[in-house]
Amino acid sequence: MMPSVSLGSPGVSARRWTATPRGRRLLRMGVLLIAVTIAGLGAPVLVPYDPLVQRLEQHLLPPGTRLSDGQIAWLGTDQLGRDLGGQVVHGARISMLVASSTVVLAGVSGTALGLCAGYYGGTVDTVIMRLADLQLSFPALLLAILIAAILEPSVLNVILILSVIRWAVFTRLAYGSVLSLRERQFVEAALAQGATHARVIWAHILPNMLTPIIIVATLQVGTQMLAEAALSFLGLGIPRPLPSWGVTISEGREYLDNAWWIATMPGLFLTFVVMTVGWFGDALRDYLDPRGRY
Amino acid sequence: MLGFLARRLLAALVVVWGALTVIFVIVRVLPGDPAAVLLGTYATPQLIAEQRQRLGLNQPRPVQYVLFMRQAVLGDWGRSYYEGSGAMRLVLGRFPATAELALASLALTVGASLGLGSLAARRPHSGLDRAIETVSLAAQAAPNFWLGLVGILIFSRDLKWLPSFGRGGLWHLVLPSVTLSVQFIGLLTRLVRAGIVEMAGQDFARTARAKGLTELRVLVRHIYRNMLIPVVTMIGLQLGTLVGGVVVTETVFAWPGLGRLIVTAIENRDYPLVQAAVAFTAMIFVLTNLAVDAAYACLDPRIRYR
Repeated sequence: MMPSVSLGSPGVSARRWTATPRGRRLLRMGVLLIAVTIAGLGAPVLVPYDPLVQRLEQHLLPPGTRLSDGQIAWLGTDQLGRDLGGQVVHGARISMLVASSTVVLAGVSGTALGLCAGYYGGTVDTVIMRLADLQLSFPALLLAILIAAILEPSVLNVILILSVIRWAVFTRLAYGSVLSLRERQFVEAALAQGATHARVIWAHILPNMLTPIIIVATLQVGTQMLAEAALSFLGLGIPRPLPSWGVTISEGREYLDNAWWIATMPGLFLTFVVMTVGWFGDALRDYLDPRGRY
Repeated sequence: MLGFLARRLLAALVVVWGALTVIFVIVRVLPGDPAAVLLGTYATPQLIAEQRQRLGLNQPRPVQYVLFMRQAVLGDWGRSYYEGSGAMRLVLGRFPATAELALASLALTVGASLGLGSLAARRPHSGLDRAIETVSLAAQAAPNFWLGLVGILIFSRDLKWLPSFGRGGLWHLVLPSVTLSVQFIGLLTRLVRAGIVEMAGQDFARTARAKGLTELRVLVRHIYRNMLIPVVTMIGLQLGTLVGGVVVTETVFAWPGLGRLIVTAIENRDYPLVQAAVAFTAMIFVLTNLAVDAAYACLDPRIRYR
């Protein structure tokens, strides 16, 4: 029987991860991000009324106005008398849903492709990596606009489009890691023991390349939220009347003169949420990768 | 160097060809009939059939592809379905406006981020440093189309200082170029700050100070020089984002450039115009990337391309 050898650095697990300043910062940012996520996902509970209910007689009311039914429209109402606060909170759900699912889709498929290209080499490598180069050398939002203009606007299509424009980022990253990992001795040892390629990839290579992928994926969530908002703003993303931040801002453009709050409020919230994701991503990077290689 | 440039040019051609193929596939294979769009809501099926014939849309797709590529090589990009004039001529006509906007934003980005980054790096972890760090993060997180609208709201509607749309004198350029550069300023400021903090402690900076140079001279003559490489790298990496930003910014400010042209051409299903505009953008994009790589070799004599 083989003696079991621990490859992990000794002593790391002995300390609690919150014992360092970096760990504590990660914890703080994680709590903030979770709070924001819960606020977004819990929209129906937080804002008990339908954000799409129109009350034309109460349109374009400024923030803080008391509506006829006694509720206060904290962020005002829009051109159709819909409560802007409700739209903003519900918009957070769509934005988060689209951003996280596109990062998961692009991340998983991109990583898998990069793994295959790097591990097997040869024709697979050439085909996948040339495609990735082509993808990366084409401006992402331009491609998204091109595809979006032709597909029917729907939440699913937005998710597909935004996944298509990002897979190559993960493919490049995974490819680079695999190239160096597959030459390492523990991979050679596993193969010599008779492990299958699938087992080597799953048990030996994948766990060792996850750190940069997780860091990049986190930072991409914010980028994808902005991309969704931009597409929706151009009228090529989330279809009306679903409450999306980009759509609301685009509608507010028509009312800049008499209702400044419609265009400005959703953007403030979008900025704040993207910043929260950015803070968390930075804290995660500093914690997982103190030397700052990624 | 020459061999390197030749190989890069060849690779650039392959990218442009790939981009053309992608455009062709997206535009022709996915649903949506340009003949019907062109004729409007009241078109009869017969009229549509005639129009398809005239536009060459009846040919099998591979034939269309070969024709398309041959004409692209010959520089014949067809006529815009809507405007009737040559597609590439329309695109070239819009290019100066976009170039003006992009160059103004580039100058603004480099200037502002060198200034802010140096300011933040003077006293790392001070209140000013933290404030600049937070503002840079916010600048990266704020959607540019929204910033543009807020800018219009404050500086055009309220203060009436700046025009809110169209192209004209220098004043017209202010809001769009600031809108376009804000996110890049945020990104580059953090990079510049980190670079200066790292280099200020290195031997060459210490030697320069020991020679009796003023702090400003050390910064400008020695540290900025070494900063140029990461700055140029980052600008190269962000070119794709810049193209997306241009499309959105031009839409917000009704700026008569390429981005606006592409969006309207897509809305009208004006295939030749979409193809010409996107191919031209891809070409400019590839050439700029090439220029960035060449700039490296000039900036850092240690880099030698083989």
